[in-house]
Amino acid sequence: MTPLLEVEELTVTLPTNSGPTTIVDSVDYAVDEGEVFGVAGESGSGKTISVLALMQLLPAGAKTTGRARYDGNDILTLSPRALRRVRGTQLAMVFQDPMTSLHPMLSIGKQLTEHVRLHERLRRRGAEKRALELLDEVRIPDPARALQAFPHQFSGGMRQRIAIAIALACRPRLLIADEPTTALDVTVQAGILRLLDRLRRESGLSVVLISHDLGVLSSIADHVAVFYAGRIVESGTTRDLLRSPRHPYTRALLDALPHPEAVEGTALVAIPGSPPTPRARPAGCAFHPRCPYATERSTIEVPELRRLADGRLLACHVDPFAAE
Amino acid sequence: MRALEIRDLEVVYRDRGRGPVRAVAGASLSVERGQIVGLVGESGCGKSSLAKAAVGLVPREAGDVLLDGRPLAPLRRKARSRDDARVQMVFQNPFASLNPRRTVGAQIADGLTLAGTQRRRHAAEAAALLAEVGIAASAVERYPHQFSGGQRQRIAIARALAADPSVVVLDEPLSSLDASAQAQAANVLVRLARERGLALLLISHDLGIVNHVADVVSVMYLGVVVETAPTRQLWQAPQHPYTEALVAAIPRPDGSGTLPDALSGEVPDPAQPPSGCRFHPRCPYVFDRCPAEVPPLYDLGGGRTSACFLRDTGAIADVEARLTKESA
Repeated sequence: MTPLLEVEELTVTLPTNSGPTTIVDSVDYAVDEGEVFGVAGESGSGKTISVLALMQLLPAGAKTTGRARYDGNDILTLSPRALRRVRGTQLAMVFQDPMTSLHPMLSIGKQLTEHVRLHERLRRRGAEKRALELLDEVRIPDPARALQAFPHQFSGGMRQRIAIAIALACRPRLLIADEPTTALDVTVQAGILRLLDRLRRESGLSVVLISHDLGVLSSIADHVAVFYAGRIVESGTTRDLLRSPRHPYTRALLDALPHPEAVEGTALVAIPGSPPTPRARPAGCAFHPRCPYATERSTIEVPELRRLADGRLLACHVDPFAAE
Repeated sequence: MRALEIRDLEVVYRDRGRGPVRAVAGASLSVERGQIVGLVGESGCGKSSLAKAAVGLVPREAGDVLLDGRPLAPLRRKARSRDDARVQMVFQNPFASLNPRRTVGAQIADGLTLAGTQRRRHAAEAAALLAEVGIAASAVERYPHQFSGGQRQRIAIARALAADPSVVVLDEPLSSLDASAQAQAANVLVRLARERGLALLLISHDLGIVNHVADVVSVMYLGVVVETAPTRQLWQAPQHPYTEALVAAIPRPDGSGTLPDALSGEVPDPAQPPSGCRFHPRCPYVFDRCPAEVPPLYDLGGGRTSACFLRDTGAIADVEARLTKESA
């Protein structure tokens, strides 16, 4: 089966005060139909920029190279007109903060029907009917009343459900969700994760889910890619990656998490130092200054992302956990 | 000794447009020296209001806040007395809580002045405080923007320590940080409590991190504390249905692919709380008594309390007795 989305050597350079800076550096991944693909990493690791590049939502002056084949076509080179047709109907996006991604002054009905009328050429009646179906699908109680209401009248969780409904309105096949539950309480987060899981199972929706929370990715993602300083350092099935991480960074991230069944009195294991800024990324493996396993080679040569016997991809010269 | 004691605290917000909102509706908790007490709950449950009332940032409608056994005076325009300054606060967003235009050293010096530290000792004291939170002493000359979020939060903690507090109230201090920075800051908090004998009240919606650092956890729902227990016990055997739902909603990073359990419904409007037990409309175990009566805090022994009728041993004994009689 060919993947729905295939990203190859995606590199994004943004203009900054101190000249062009590479934020995303030669990233490869593939997302299958009906799959939830998780993207993990600390803030500043390039997770968000890499998906904004797919949607061509980067600020002016940004330079994107590489390929992103969606359904066989490279979406990085689409004309503005073709791009408008793809965005919304094929690829859609949900952002972290539903407070800012919804328009505060427009009713939910207006925000849900606008693009349906444009893309699907439905008349008002038809668009409203579709909007009701959508609100029902994301489990908003009393959809008819919700259509007349405004964003501020809903709780954070409800707003995120509405943002998802808007994204799904033109039946996209791929949903890009950037930290969709980070601003929400765990109880509400669980509901959103269950919603995404149902959509994927019932309508074969593919999801690229960005989250810094490995617990979130563990519960719903099929595959996970771990970003560090603009590169993927390890990717593979969620099970492999979280149960037997091979990259020292993946392992360190997991060790830093509070573990529910931890022995009383154990301190959390913090990674020494802080992640590098894009302008000051270290030579060689960008993680080497913080890595207890780094060798001289790690400081000089950038490790290739290579495929291991169990199918995962790893970018590490040392591979200290190979024997486990 | 109890460094901070909050008794039957009520915080009410009044707004012309709508009726009064009881954000905190009679909550009690206490923090001992050297102890970390976690306060968890969903957004809108009143935990931040409780935190602000605990340091005097919002006026309290009723109840008492005792600092080292003495009532805390509300914050006024005038500078606080040195005794009242022994409660300090650390806020969620270190980008907003540190002054961007003053050096880190100057901001720490404010606290030192408050604590009556001599001026000539400021530099040495500031360096020592920064070392305690794992920041290089050279930071005193620098500005907040030169640090990462995690470092800034640790600087904010150092600044709070400068005033030589006995109690520090931390409102979501770790939630804007990445996992590793969060771990660093959390470890700093634990060390401070143990080594300085500080009493810490840690407010967070993240049960995972609270579970790791707190000795005791109180769970708040819609303005009231519904359960308090030693951390490990709260996690392993929650005695209130709401706590149970919170624990079940946490996604575990174990690669198992199990979806967390969602809690049905939404947090109700605190201006119109449900009758009886405030959790009853969302509770899977609800029965006839719940909407009718307000459950008291049942003392379960061993420092555990729960405000749920299911913990009413007297009532359960009654039901059991009735059942035995019926079956006989």
